[in-house]
Amino acid sequence: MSYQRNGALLGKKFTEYLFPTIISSMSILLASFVDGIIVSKLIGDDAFSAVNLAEPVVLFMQALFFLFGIGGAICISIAKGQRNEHKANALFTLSFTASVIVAVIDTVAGTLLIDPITHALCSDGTLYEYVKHYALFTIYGSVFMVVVPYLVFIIRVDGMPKLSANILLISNIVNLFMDLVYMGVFKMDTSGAALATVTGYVVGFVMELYYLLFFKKRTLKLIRLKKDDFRFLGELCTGGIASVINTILLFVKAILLNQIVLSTTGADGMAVFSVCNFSVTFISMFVSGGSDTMTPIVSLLYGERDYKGIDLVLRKTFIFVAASCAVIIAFIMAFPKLLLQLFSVTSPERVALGIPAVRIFSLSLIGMGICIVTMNYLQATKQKAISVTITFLRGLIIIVPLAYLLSISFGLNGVSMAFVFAEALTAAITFLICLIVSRAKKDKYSGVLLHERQTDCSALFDASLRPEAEQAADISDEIIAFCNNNGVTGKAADYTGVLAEETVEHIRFFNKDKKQPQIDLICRVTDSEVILSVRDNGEAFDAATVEGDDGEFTNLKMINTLADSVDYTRALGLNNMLINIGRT
Amino acid sequence: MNITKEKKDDRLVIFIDGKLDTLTSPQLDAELKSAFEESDTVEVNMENLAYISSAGLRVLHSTHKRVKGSGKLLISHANGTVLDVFESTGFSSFLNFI
Repeated sequence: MSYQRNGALLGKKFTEYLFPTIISSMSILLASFVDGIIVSKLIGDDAFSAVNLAEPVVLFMQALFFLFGIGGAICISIAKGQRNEHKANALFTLSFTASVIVAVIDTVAGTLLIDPITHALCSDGTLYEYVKHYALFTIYGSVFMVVVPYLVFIIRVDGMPKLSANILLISNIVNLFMDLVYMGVFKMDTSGAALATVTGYVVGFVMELYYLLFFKKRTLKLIRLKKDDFRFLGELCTGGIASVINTILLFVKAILLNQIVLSTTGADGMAVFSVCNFSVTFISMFVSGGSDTMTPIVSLLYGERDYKGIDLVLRKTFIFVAASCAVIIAFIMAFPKLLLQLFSVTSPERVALGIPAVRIFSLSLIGMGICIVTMNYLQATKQKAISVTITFLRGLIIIVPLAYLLSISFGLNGVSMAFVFAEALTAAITFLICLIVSRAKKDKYSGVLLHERQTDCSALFDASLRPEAEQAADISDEIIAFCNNNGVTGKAADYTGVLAEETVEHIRFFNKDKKQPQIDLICRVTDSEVILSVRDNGEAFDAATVEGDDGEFTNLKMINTLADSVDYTRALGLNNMLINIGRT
Repeated sequence: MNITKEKKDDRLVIFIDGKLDTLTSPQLDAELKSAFEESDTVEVNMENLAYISSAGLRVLHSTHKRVKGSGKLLISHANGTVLDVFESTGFSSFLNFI
């Protein structure tokens, strides 16, 4: 029997992460949507406007937790993939400490500078107090507003996507409930809305304390940092930089495009454009859900240099995102009027203006999906410069001038066309940049996905299998034949075959009476050694400590005896064993 | 794996040929159990054994423990990687090699 690598294990991991990640995105967006409705119903339209005007304060905190959360998650996943547990723990400690420190600084500085901040946010005297109260209470809760979502990224990367989704879900439910209590019962103004959000995050923090203090499955630890560990700070701060810039540019783009739409098409155009923006917000749940699911898995595989695995996950992400976009586009194309009506755009003039505009705009969603997934992929594989370039191209450089120029000739349809062209152009330019980099550095990279060449590896074997005795026995034959065909003979080849059988058998026995896991097994031949990399989604074990309690010569004893070295790590809920066998 | 048996002087010799792995070790276990019913001394000839995994070692270990005192398990002609495995795992220190 010949074994081939398939996407079963990684596909299952992707699916396991996808639903909680979408729930997380959905809970944030829905809470923000319902929050707005509650504020406008309980306090009034002015309060709602004030909350929107104070949005940059929230956005600033979002940038901070993206910086440490996404950057931390990417760097930690890569370190785990490299089996560098110390680095993973040091990155966790650094990012946690940094997020607390910047949040405290934000609280102190924001409280002291609240008047200048409010002046910068709001020039309208009637809204000043509302804006100030909302901003101030948000700033008071900075520590929770930054640390809680930061930890949500970390918990997800630590193999607990459901817990991380539940934290956000419960935080947002508490937020909405407390909105009613503070503003409805206690008659607070916008400060009540901000306080409700902070209260929600305090509840989220209590759940996270449980993770930090009592959760047995937690693999990341806070450690005492050595002087040398601070060198990871640069890597940490730049790891998620594209996502941070993307957040900032979303805000800048919105301000500039609103100006363009208002100046060319007035209030009618703005009403339709808001519907377009909502469709982006809606599809973002799925696009972000897909790409946020992909990011830690790809980073882990990048650390392991498992490029076939990366291709499998990337393909799955693109299929999911493209399918989601296709469904939304088909809906908008078929029922543009219904979409406009959902947002109370019902006057004949606005409907006539809106139907072609939303239809054209919908075509940009597929490009948006491709660009966001690509940006996240490149960020996860440490191609920060290209990732940041994509962010600037689609977030500012192409879209704003193009929207301005096309709006002059085509009005609102021109703005919609600008989105389509901007996303398509960004995707094309990104492809071109990757192609040029790949060709210019062909010794380092292969292909447009910029997979690093494994110069130290002369041959690679990979297979997916089930923990079954027949497959364990078969795989040893295949590994020995692979080694022999690639210049590894005698003891090294035989030991590699035995070790392949032992790992599969260990996984089979360790998961006896439990759900049988999937296994990916990769064998690399280098000049000096043979490396066996085995990954499974079964019960957690520590290869160095788990031994049979009956004095039996267990599979793990055999592995630790025959191998030159054995490294084990648990990442994203996967067991990863790395076994080195010397060729001499 | 092929197993053949031959009566030789005071002992029963089991010749094993091929791979002693997780699939084939139960077969050796059964053969050893029946062999010790026929003879107090059983020799396992490993001249043509190319591969042994922990499943095979466990069979030899359990047989060695079971017959200790009442019989004798002998290992002969182990070579190459199989001998290396016995040495690396410490089995060469308690099994009887001839």
